[in-house]
Amino acid sequence: MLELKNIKIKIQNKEVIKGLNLNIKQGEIHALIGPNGSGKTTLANAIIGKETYETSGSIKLNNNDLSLLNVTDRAKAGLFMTFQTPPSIPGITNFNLVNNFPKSSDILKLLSKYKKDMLKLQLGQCWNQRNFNEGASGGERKKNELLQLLQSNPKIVILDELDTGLDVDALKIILKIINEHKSKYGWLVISHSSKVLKNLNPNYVHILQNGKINETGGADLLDRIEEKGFHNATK
Amino acid sequence: MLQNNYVIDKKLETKINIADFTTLNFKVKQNAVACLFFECKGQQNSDTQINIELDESASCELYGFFKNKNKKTSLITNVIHRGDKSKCNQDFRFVNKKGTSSFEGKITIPKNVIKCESHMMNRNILLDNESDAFSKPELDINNDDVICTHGCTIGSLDDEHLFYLQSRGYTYEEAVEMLIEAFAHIRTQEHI
Repeated sequence: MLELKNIKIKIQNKEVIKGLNLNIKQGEIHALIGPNGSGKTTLANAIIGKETYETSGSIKLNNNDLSLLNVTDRAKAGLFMTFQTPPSIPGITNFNLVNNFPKSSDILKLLSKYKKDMLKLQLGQCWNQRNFNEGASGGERKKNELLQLLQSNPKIVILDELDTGLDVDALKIILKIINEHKSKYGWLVISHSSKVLKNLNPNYVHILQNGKINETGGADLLDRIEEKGFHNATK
Repeated sequence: MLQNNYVIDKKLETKINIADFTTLNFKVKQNAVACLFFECKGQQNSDTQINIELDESASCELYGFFKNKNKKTSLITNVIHRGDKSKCNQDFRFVNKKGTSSFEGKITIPKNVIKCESHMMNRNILLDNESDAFSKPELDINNDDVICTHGCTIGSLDDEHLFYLQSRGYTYEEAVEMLIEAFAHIRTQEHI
């Protein structure tokens, strides 16, 4: 599915990611963990096509090269990222932004799914009329990201700092939804918290430090990180 | 080009194309309410002055949204509070693409007219480096017993918003159009 080869990212001439390789297949959860400032979000933004970054290396999805595609085309090809801090956009309602249905699709069916997903995420009906994320808590914003994910049909899902702003109950709901959809997508879950990642039982855990993946292991690597910290876990 | 005079005794809600006028005079009488929407149709440059006089306890809402593509829209508003407890709210927004907007607004409250409330806001979005916006919001307040605000902003569309919308599959052009529509809508949602 998603194949990253020798990815290097420069921001304002500073190399943040210094040669990174990663393969994510459908149904796999890859946890990317690392200390603050190690380049996790930078990598996520670069994968979905942030144009202000200087990115080299190859990004392939099902053997199609995405490197030269813009953000929109990468989204259409099947990349979906939930943002660490989703913006609030006054003047566009939550409903209007999320429901970007193609003209030929069965709108009633899609609306019915949308309503069910809102119930699952415990977002009330008034949510639809509110401006996009305006006045929304961190948890509501994250739920809104999940709501959008459930209305799209991506191949790869990147969850950037999944747990930011989430209370225990909201985190539970979101983890449940991810587990339900685990087999449908390939997952790259970014976090600096090993506790949250443990709940997802990832197939692979990668430690990102100093712009490189220093260590890759199974879910047990998370225990080592909790016990010894990032630095010592990679020794 | 025309001048038009309106006297509002009770209530008026209307949409006016400023391209048709050089001067618009509104007299809002005691306890009357006016809600005026302004737009500018057509490809021609326009230059319009709007004069508002407010009697005691009169209320007036002025909203304008203008897209300037390859043209210039100049607008002068002149709001005079003649009576106590009169209220006015002005919100004029411009989006310029190879275009120019010019807004000059003045609120006048004489010394002997009290308990008035008057607000004026002018916001501009420049979509390219070939666009300009001029803004001069002005207050002429002659007593302390009033509530008045004025302000202006000039900027571009938020890059983060554009990136976010594109990451959801909207093209750059669609994202720009959505954010312009959103910019226009905030106006109505804030005040109506």
